[in-house]
Amino acid sequence: MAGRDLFVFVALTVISSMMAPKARGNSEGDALYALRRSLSDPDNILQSWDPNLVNPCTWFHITCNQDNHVTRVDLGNSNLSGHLVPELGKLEHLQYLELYKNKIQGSIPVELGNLKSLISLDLYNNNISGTIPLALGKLKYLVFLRLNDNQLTGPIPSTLASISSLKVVDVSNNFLCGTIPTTGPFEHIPLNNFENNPRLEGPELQGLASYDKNCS
Amino acid sequence: MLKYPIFTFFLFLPFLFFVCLKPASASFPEANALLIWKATFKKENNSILTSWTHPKASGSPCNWFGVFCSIDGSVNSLNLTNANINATFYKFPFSSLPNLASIDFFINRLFGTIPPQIGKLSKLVYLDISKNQLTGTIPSEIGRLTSLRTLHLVENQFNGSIPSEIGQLVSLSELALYSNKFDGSIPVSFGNLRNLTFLYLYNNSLSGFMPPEMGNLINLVEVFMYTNMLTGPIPPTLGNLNKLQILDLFENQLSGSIPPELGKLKSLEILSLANNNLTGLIPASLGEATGLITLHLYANNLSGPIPRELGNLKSLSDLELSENKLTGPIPASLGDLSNLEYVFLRQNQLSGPIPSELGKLKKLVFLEMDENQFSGHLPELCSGGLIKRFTLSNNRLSGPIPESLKTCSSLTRARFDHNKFSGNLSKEFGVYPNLTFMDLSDNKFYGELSDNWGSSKRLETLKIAKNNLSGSIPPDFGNLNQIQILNLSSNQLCGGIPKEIGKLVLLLKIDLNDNRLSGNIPHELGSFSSLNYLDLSRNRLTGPIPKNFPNSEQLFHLNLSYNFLSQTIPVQIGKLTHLAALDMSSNSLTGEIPYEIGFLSSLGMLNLSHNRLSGFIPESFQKLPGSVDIDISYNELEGHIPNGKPFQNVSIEKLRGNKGLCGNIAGLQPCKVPPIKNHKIGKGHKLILIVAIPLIGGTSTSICTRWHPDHVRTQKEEFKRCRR
Repeated sequence: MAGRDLFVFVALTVISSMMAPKARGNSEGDALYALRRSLSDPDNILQSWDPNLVNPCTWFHITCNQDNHVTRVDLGNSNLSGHLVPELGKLEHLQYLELYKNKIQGSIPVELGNLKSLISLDLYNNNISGTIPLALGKLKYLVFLRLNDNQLTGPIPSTLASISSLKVVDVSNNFLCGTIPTTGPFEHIPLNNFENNPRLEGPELQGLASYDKNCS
Repeated sequence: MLKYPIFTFFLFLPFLFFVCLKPASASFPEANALLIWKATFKKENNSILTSWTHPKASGSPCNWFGVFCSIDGSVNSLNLTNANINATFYKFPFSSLPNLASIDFFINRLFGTIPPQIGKLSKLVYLDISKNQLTGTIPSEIGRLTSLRTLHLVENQFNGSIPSEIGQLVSLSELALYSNKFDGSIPVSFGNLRNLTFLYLYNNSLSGFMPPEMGNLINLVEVFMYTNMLTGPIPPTLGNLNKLQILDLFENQLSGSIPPELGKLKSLEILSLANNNLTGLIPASLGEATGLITLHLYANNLSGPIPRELGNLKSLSDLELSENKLTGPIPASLGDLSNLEYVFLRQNQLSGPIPSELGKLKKLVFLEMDENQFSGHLPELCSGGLIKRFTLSNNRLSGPIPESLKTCSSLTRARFDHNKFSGNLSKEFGVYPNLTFMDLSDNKFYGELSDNWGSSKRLETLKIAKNNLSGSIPPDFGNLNQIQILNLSSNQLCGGIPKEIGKLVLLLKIDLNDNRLSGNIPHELGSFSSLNYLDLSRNRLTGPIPKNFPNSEQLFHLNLSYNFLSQTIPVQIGKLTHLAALDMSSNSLTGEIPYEIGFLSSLGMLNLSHNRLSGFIPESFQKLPGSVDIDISYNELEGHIPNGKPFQNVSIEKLRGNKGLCGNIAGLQPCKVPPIKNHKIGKGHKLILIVAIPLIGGTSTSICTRWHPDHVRTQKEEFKRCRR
């Protein structure tokens, strides 16, 4: 019977997958491998991302610290498309997430708010849509937030104003709405880092009710 | 004669009539019942079921696609594998197909739950509804199917506990529930399934203890229960299962020791207990399970030695004991396991020398023993010429590399790093046509880099840092056109950086720091467009920083410090918009700090200290990220400190030793006159520089020799020693 033959086939693939030598899963390697599976990589940039290795620290485009925790992901200008994955949020020691100048689509996972060591989030020049997650306000060491040249909608989360380390913000060339924050780090961000967002209105005036219309 | 056939014809006519009528009367309700179910199917693009139409003259569904009948015309089997059926079981004719013995609906889009009426199919022998979208729990009525021999419910979304009534299916031989969301414990009643041969429960959320009653299932051949949440001990009664060939309990939370009774399993071929919480010793009795081909005990908390009795497992081909707390030596008896292909002992506390008997293993393909405390010299290990992955890093091994490894041309990935290996590097290693990764860092190799490395053309990562290498970098390294990471730091390499390195367009990381490299930085190094990391610090490089150098927007780390680089900082440096760290300190750089440095919008650290930079600090520094750590001490800078965040909290240590800096910073003289606007270097200023440079150049060389006397003296010596 066809069903039985298929069943035997499945059982044999199970046995052969067991033969692939493994180690206890490294959660950072697993998270990055999930990213690899979700991205389309015509230039084979991610070819060295081998999940059978003990940790991702010998993978190309990955930098680790002395404790074998991932601190940098450098994939700028790599002809990648596909989506980001929520698993990225597990990289608790990640400082630099460099994914700029690709063709990545889909939205920014809210789980990126868990990257508590993040210093730089560079997603600029992609096809990313959806909103900027409020959870990014949890990134207490963030210095660089460059999301320009995407298709982001919705408001600039007010939670970002609480990140005192934030020095460089660029959200230009998107479809953001609402008002430009002016408090905290936003006091020093030049206005042209917000330009070309047709529905983004001038700097908010403190104390007045916001004049967001249909922006959420 | 003629009469005879006609006579028999008329004799049999009534029978014919009867026979023709009988099936119709048996199948008509069956056909109708099936059509009632078919009517609930969602419309799909399948012509497969066009045969399922209202019965005509015969009224029999037996010619329908996927419908099979017994001699008496009653439906006994439905085989609708991969028929794209999108329906539920709610209108399935459980009561109208009394002779149904086999249901095979593998790979369809059936959804909803299994109705309790399933219990009515009392003659059912084979039930396969795998790879559908069914949900809910298994009804306890399933226990009524006492003829059932095969039950396959795999790859659906069933949840809840496995009903203990399954224990009533005494004919059951194959039970497959894998890849669902079953939780709760394995029912104790499973112990009654005496005919059970194949048990596949893997990839669920099963918890609780494995019932010791499973030891009664003496016909079991394969047990796959991996990737669940089972706790408690492995029942010693499993040792009674003398037909068992596969026991896979990988990735659970089993605890306690490995029962020595498992050694009784003479038929066992695959044993995986990896990725659990097992403690205690590896039982010596496992050496009696002489059928073993694969033994995976990795990622547990096992302690004690590797029993030498494992040397009796003559069929063993895959031995994985990594990530435990095993101590003691590798038993020499493992050298008797002539079928061994995969040996993983990594990340334990094993010690002693690696036994020379391991050299007898001709079929070895993967040998990974890194992160232990092995000592002594390596024996011959690649005598079969098949080893691909060879990892011995992070041990206490010493001595030379044996001959068989020098000629081990099958190597793809090799790690010897963090040991005490010694010997003349150019004699220890040969050419490896398939090698992609080699790490020899942190050892005591001496001698020179041979041209051979350039012939290992598949190399992508080459690290030989922290050794005692001398001589120069061979130009043949320019043949390594797949290389992405090159680390030769912390050696005594001399001579120039070969310009051929510029051909290696895939390079991501170059680390040559802490050597005695001399000469100029070849301008060919400017051609890298993907380079992320470049460290040439702590060498004796002279001459200018090449104009177009480096050319990679992705560069995040550039360190040229502690060299003898001269002339100006190229303005192209401003293109490095992702540079996080820029260190050019302790050189002899002259001229003004380019305005373009202000464009380095990702800069976190800037160190230009201990140079001969002159003029003003560009106003563009205000544009740098406010948190940047700047050090411009010990130059010849003057003028006021620019306003803005980068200098707000700077300490005097980062500014001192200059010509005439002024500003509102503690320890710095306040500016006497209103701050002079620090101009960009325009044409006018260039003119002044052109005149000034020969003057400054003249004075700076004399100052250089005064400030860095040691470097100059030894530099001359090195030129004599460096042959190439």
